[in-house]
Amino acid sequence: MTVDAAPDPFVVAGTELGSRLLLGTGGMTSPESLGRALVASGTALATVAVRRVDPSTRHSLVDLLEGLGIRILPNTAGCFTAADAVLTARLAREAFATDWVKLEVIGDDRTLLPDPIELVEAAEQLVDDGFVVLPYCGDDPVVARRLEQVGCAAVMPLGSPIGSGLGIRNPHNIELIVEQAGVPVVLDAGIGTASDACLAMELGCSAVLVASAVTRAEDPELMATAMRDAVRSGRAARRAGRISRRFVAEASSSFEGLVGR
Amino acid sequence: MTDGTDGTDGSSGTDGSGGSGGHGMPVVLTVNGERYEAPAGTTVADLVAAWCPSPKGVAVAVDGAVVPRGEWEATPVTSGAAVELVTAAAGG
Repeated sequence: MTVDAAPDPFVVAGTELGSRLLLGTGGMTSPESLGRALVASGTALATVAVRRVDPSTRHSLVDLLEGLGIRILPNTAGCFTAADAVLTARLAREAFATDWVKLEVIGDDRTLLPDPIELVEAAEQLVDDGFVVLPYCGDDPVVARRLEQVGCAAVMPLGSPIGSGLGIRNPHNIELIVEQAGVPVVLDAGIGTASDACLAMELGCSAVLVASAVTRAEDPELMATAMRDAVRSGRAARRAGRISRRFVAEASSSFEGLVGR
Repeated sequence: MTDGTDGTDGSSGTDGSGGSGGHGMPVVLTVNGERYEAPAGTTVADLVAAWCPSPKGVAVAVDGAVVPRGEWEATPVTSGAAVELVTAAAGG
């Protein structure tokens, strides 16, 4: 177990979350598998979708998460318009007694990329309605700034399309977003394996949200463990202050005291 | 927005708007996209009890507007209404 330096709390909207790894529940094959992955990840916040009740369902996702002491973050997944997203968020607030919402407004059903115009519109309405809004957005620093300006509690830029496992396609933009942000930046979407999550933290993100990389891994529980460690490593590396990149070498061994010189 | 014009109760309802089964006739509405017939006097709370394994973690919208949990008992369902009963599902 590594020794951490000074306390490093992860705070969103005044609430301290005990883990910088957020887990999405989408794609999991069974409640048992999901439960094991959630525990292995050490997460404090998990997203759920809002869907029609299925009278034949035996298990309750709400009960599972509450039983594990994990906070529920409802997601407006599947919404293509601000109006749909706002209604879904309001239903979620009623259902789960939380003001927190992951705002997802999709502009294209093939790439699942966010629609920035509908997204900012919905964010503004929901902030006005008292929600704590965590918007899933593209890696455009201008849109990220707009979302923060309308009052979002965090910004959650994608690394690459949902479920693609392509990692962080534009690390430069993620760094720009981190540099300008006054709220936590959570890398959300496209993470494929542990090194992607580690890189996100090294780039300065406050946290990462992982779904498919864990739920669709061959061994979700083991991948959840890997992600937990990757997020911790990346965060520590960031806080440790890395060396600069150099065009040529810088000797790590002194030239003094060389034999024969 | 529906206004109960496809209600099959044959009456205009005692309150002039979509019939809520004022003469004991069943109320025909849509629940989660399916046609559903409910006894006269059915409330939102009754629908939740009939459809949901538990009321916990459930939210209700009628004709696109959220009905707060505290109003379920007091809200009758009307003919032609579109009701959505939602809860958490794996996703997001």
